[in-house]
Amino acid sequence: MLEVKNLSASVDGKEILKGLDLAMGSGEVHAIMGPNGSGKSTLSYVLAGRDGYEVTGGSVTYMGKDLLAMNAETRAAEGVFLAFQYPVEIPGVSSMNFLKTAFNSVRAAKGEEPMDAMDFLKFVREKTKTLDISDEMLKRAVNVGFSGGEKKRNEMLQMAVLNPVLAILDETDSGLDVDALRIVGEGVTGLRTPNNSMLVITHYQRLLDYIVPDFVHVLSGGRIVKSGGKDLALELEANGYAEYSAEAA
Amino acid sequence: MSTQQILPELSPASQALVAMHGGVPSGDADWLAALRADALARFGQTGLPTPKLEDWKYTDLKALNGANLVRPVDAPAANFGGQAGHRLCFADGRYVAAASKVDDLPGGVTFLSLSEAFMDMPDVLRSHLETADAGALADLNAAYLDGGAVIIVDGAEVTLALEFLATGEGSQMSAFHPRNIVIVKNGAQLTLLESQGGGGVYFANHVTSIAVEDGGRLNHVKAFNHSSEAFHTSLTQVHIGADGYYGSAVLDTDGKLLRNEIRIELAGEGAETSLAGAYLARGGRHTDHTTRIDHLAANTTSRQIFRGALDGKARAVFQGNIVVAEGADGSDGRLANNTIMLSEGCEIDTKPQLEIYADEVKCAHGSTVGELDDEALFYLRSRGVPETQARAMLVEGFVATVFDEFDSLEGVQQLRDGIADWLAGLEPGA
Repeated sequence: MLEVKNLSASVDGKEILKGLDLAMGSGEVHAIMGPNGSGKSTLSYVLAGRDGYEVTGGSVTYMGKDLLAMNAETRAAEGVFLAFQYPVEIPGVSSMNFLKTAFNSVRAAKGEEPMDAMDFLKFVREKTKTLDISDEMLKRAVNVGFSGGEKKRNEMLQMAVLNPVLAILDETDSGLDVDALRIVGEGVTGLRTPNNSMLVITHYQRLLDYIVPDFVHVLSGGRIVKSGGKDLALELEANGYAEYSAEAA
Repeated sequence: MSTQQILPELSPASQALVAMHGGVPSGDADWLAALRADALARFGQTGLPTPKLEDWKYTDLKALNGANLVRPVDAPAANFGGQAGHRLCFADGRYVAAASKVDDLPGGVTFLSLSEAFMDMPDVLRSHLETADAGALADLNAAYLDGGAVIIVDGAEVTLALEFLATGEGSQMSAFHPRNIVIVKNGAQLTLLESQGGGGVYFANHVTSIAVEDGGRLNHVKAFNHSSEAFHTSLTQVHIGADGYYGSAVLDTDGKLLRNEIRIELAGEGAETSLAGAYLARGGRHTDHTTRIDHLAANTTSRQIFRGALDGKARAVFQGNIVVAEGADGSDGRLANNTIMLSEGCEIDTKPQLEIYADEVKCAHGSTVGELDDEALFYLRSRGVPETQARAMLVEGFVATVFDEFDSLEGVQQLRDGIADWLAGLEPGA
């Protein structure tokens, strides 16, 4: 489903990813854990196609296609979704309008007709129930004045609406209290299907109590330095990243 | 010894505008004939405003010098959009009775064309037509007084529409000068929907004089969608009595050169005004929004928000001045101007000003100029929204919020649609 080979990328001329390898199969959940500055967010932006992140080497094959050749909106249409660590505020654009435009853009890219407004409203209401999102929140401008928990729930709602093939969750647990973490964690788990893969990027193990990974990778110094099963996350929680930082250096 | 006054040399356009005046119409009453003649004489002294004037530093009408200025031809054909309800329609500034609807007006509402009002109510008009202190374009307007509306609302609540269409054809630039007079009496309420547009080459020089008397309320919704060849200047002068209110929501999306000037006098205690404007410009268009608000009485309030987006080589000017007179304590004035630059070649000159002569006031102004937020753009694109559409969404979200306060009014949806229409023509970014 996803094959990252020897990927190197730099930001503002500084090399952050240095030969990263990662292979994910359909329906798998992979967790990437690592200390601050190890390249976690860079990896998520490179996969989502953000301008300014220059790929200097390697390849990314997604569903048999060259992911790096696609622009951000094409990746989204092909089923790649990034849940942002810091969801962006968009004044003057209602959450509902944003969702509908995104949803219909992806449909249009696949040559499908847009869903009409009433059907879409019903469709969204099914998704909002489990995420504890009110109609009032949908009327507000995207993320403007939202609490940290509301912003992350809004990300999960977008994910539920767009139903991605590959969801990348970038530090989705940051800024969440225990209750919000549970809502988000259960929300994500509810979106798991045998066909959808998830790449969960996190500093802490706690999110993985809800989203149980099939594989855990340690990212340090711009490379995957260790891979293992879900127990690796617990080990990292207990021992910290010190030994991997040393290894990278 | 006498000194001979040396007149400034008039520009070709100014000379043409004086020369095409055919003298005072034969049917005019003496007072009106005198008013026109005086106004023409004053304009003959000054000519069109030039960048030498502080207020016109950033907007230059010199391009009119290359135009072949003429009087509009009689009975131009015009296809009016057909505003619902009571309306007055004007083609090249002249009243078109056939397209207008003025029957079954509610009691207390006077709604008629200026030419009819000259005969029916000269005493009411006289003071409102005077332009001695209003500047050269107002003088030019008074010299011609091509047409326009006279509206008086007394003890009523009503929505009325004005539709101005221009039909410039060929290379000749028809110049016309409509004048509206609006009086909202004590406690009355008026929503005035004004649309201006047209095709071809023309110079439309509008003046609107408004009096909102004590406790009156007027909401003025204006859509400017002039021809991309057109020159348009508009002066709106508003005098507001105690506890009166004037609200203005303006959308400006086209016209080669446009100047929308609003002057407000908050003359009675508790008077209030709120001005919202959105300007969108691309190609080589020039747009200018200039306001001046005089807080003349205590406890008066003003709010202004003007936002725009510029693309191509467009140029915008915003000049906003809040003046608080001595003794106007408790005045509260706020002014914001925010512009998004979508291209390298566009330009904005923004000049917010405060002049405060009173002791206890709350006043604030601010202006920002910036580009679209990269992060927000990526956020939308990462959700599948194509780049050009994402840029349009961000601009719309940014600009259209100026109208939020006016959302309950008829006509405001039309302004929002006008923003979306303009954005549908957005080119892919560099």
